[in-house]
Amino acid sequence: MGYLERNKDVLQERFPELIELLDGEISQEEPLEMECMEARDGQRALVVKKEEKKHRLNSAYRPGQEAAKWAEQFELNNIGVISLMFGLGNGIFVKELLKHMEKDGSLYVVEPSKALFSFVMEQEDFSDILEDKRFHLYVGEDSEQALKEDAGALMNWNSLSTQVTCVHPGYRELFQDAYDKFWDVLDRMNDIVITKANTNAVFADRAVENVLHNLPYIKESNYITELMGKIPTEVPAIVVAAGPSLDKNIDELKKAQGRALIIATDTAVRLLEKKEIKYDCIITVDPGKPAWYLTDYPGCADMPLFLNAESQWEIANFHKGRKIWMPGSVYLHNLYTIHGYNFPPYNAGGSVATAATMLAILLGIRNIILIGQDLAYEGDKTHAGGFEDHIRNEEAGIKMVEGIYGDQVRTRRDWVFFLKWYEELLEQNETLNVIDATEGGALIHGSKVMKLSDAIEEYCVEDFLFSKFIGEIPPTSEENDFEPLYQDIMGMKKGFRNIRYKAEEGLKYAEEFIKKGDAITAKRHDRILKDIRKANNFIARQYGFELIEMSSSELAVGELKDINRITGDAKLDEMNSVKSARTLYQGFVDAVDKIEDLLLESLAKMENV
Amino acid sequence: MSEEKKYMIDTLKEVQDNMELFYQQKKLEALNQFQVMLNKILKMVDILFTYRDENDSFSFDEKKIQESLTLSMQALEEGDLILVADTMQYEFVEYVNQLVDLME
Repeated sequence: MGYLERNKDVLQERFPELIELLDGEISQEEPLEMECMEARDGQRALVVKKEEKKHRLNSAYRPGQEAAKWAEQFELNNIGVISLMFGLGNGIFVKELLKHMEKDGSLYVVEPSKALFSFVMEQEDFSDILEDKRFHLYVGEDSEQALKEDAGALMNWNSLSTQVTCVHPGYRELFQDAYDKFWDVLDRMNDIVITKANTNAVFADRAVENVLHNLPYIKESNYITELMGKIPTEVPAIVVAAGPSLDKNIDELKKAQGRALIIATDTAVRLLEKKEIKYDCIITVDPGKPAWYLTDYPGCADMPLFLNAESQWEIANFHKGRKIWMPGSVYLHNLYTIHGYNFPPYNAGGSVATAATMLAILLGIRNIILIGQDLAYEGDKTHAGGFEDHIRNEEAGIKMVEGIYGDQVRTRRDWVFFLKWYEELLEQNETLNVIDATEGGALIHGSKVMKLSDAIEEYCVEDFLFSKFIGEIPPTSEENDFEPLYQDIMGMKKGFRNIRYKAEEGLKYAEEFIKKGDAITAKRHDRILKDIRKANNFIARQYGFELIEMSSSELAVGELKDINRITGDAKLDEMNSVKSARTLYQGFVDAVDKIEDLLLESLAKMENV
Repeated sequence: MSEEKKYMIDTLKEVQDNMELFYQQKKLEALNQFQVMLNKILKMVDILFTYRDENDSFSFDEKKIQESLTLSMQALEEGDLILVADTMQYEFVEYVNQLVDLME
């Protein structure tokens, strides 16, 4: 069996989507001439000719030794190292990385050239590499997006400090544009992790408090999956954000009533209420959203409300209509999943307007009209209705971007983040039609810019009443046996007690280990490490552990951010991990102390619902 | 060990370290260091000639040394850094190492 057939067999198992690249004709925008030559040591070296220039991708003398020297520079022995590499080459460098990598590591490789991929699959035996479960491969210039999704899902704050990024020799010179794109994707991926970790740390206490307060509402609520795919596809959604341009066309919305799903972001509700413009539902996701955005307008209390369990509890408390849970809370997600109620994958994008757009997508809507989504200042205005909402250190993040009229408009860093989110969403979903009817602000590349009146005329053509639609769907608990799920919620009472008890026990073990240092006997040393492991496993299995972990998340971005780093000194590494365990245990005890009363209060309320 | 031989051994080690930077794609660092190394490499060649003049039993292939250095310089001009490292490491250093073994 030749190399190609052998490689294909493994590809079929692990990367079936790449098989077609090997079967069809590959059109090359920039033709490459590829050659495998024999190096002096008998190994094979890859040479690529592009625009008359030869690029040597391996040593012509000893490719194996070269790869070993190259790989030596990377720290691959930390816990759960995520490595990201640009360029597959003939696999020699990849093999060397895998050789040095621990079992729990992972290597994500982007090969920008389909032609080069196809060539090396014919020329070299890749079966070992392709079979290695730590290895992940993305081929083609547009493959970075898939990389971002896969690797991004794995990355967290603790993995950032041990992340390895590398470029196959010669690839930068050969594929400069793809190289730039690779780094852009990596930067963005890391930005998301950092932003998320910092946001989680800042909002964690608030989010946990919200989850506990919101528990009693579970009984009368629905969750998003129950609504998915049930709205006729020809019905468009109108996402009403509160950017300054909303003042220009808010009145036009009246023409869309009853012919679209009008989703009011929490920030836009007061503007709609003041103008007495009807909308179909509200969405709120921010754990710290000031409640007065809604509570000052009693008219909105009965509107269906999309929220997640971490959303501001005072808003949920004020609201009397149907509540529909969105994804976004780890606790609720785990609780529902265990009982067979599955939430869809979800990327909320960071603002309530992006979350509203995602809500429309989850509901199966393909034509989404945005209004008030300026993502830019209008003069100095940040929001409609003369309202200003500024962010910390705003001046430092101000930049100019392309406006919808081809001009340059002033924006700020959080809006740039949302702008990119929309653009990536559109890049990934070719059938999605996002109509930017904001009539001002930044241009969302990939969207269709229209006046709202024109968009309504074109898309809002079928009658649709969301109130009727939601009225026909009973709360989840009415048609399902929710008793086991309630029992799990009630189980948190015991879970919190268990966590405190075991964390205090773990603290004692860790203190003893640290205090005794080198003086500890071998038997006691092994016993304590075993007890710590047992305590960790026990704690992680308790009901409500997600909330306790969240409540201690400030530790993860502070004292424990290097928790995965290995120094190479086994003794020191062991001591560091016990010190980390001590910090975590103390964090768990503090967290239980902080939120236990609220849990008991909430569970009591639940029992009375 | 003569001072010349010690100089040769130390400098060859430095050249190898420098080539490692080329193999590790640390381009800027590698080139900066190589610039400094060039004078030391030329001094090594001078030492070889002087040593040969002073020792009848010692001889070497001048052409081989000249060719390896020329090839390295050409590769440098063409920006082929892997070839720079290859020729320095596997032509120049390996051969000079053999000669150093023959020196007293």
